[in-house]
Amino acid sequence: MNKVDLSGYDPKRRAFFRRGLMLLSGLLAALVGIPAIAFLIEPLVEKIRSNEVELGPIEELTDRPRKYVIRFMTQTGWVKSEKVMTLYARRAAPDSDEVVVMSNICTHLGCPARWEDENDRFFCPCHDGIYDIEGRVIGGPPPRPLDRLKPIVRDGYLFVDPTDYIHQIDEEKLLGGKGSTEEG
Amino acid sequence: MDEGRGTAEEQIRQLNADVKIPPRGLVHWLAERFDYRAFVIKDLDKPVPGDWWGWFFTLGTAAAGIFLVQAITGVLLAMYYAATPEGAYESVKYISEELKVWGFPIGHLIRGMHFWGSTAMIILVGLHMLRVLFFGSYKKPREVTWLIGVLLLIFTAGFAFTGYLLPWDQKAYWATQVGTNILGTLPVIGQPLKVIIRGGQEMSAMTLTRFYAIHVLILPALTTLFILAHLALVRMQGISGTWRGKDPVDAAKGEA
Repeated sequence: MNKVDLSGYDPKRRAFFRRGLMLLSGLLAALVGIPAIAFLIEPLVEKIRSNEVELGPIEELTDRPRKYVIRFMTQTGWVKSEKVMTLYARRAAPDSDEVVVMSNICTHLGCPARWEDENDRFFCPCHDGIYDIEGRVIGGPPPRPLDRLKPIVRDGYLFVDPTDYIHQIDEEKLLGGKGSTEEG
Repeated sequence: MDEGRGTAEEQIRQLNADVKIPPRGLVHWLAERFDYRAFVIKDLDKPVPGDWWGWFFTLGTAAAGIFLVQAITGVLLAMYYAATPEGAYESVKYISEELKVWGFPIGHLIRGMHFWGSTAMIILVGLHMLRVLFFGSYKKPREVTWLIGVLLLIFTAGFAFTGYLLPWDQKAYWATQVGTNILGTLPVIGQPLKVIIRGGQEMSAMTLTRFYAIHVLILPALTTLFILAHLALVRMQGISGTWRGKDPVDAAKGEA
């Protein structure tokens, strides 16, 4: 009664089924594994979320920095939040159509710097960081010039896309900056 | 009996004589350290009753397979899910509608696998139970396997009940409202049980976090543990065979 019936035993058939089983198992594993890997690498895939924000008509710009406070929505995962950002825009030269847009975030520790027209400089009150009209560091601890955003001019109006720049700011905040972007 | 048992094992070993250790590679490295073939022969190459009857014995394995799929997709979903009243619906919506890789709706796919997997699980577990019932496999000496199976059935229902709430939409909310109220109608223990399950008198954020903890921490741990015990018992005692008897399976039945 405890004997195994070997009469129908065929090594070739058995090897075939063994391989078939392995193939089928591999197929099933791939069926779950490939979507799982795709799901996991999702954060690596670049999201194309254009977020153009209007600053104003280009004719109001001079060669002196003009302050703009912009509000826009950003999204990380399912969390949407409003961000406020202060920018300075000016013409590169009095008659130039070339526009320069700079962030007011001090490159030292992320405090908001402000344009002082009478002193012809950007000044950050936290640690006395000083920048010239081009955003170059002329005094104090900032390690690099003020950040620039790519200006988008369309139909006589100036726009910027702050999305990419925002990531940069967030990283700086994580690295110990204590600045708020809400005041300029 | 002992002698016969040895013979059966010997013959199964013979059947597996074609499983050769490869001369190199990872399998060779492993086999040099422990002979995995012993495990394969003993635990994977069990004879099952011949012809189409054998298919009835795949139901438990199928359920275990779906459990694996649920575990993998569940872990993935947990990476994007927020178990709060503000976050639950929004995060599930994000998974379904916005989680894409190169335009492919991967979030929708993974959530879909988890969703349909849960339905398949209920069906397979039900069929598996019917198979055991009709073949009389629950009888001595396999009562403990059956009882563990009953526990696993309850866990499966628990997975379905707690998982249903997590999307936190109208259907989920009211289904849980009704479900926990039904629980409250139990005599004596009903009301206290309802309050414990809900984490308070009313449905709230507490209900959601509770259900989430039960769904992703308590039940997976318990289910894994009892599936292992269930499998160990099946392998220790052998499968029961059909009611027709005198199948190849009878030969292997007694062996450990």
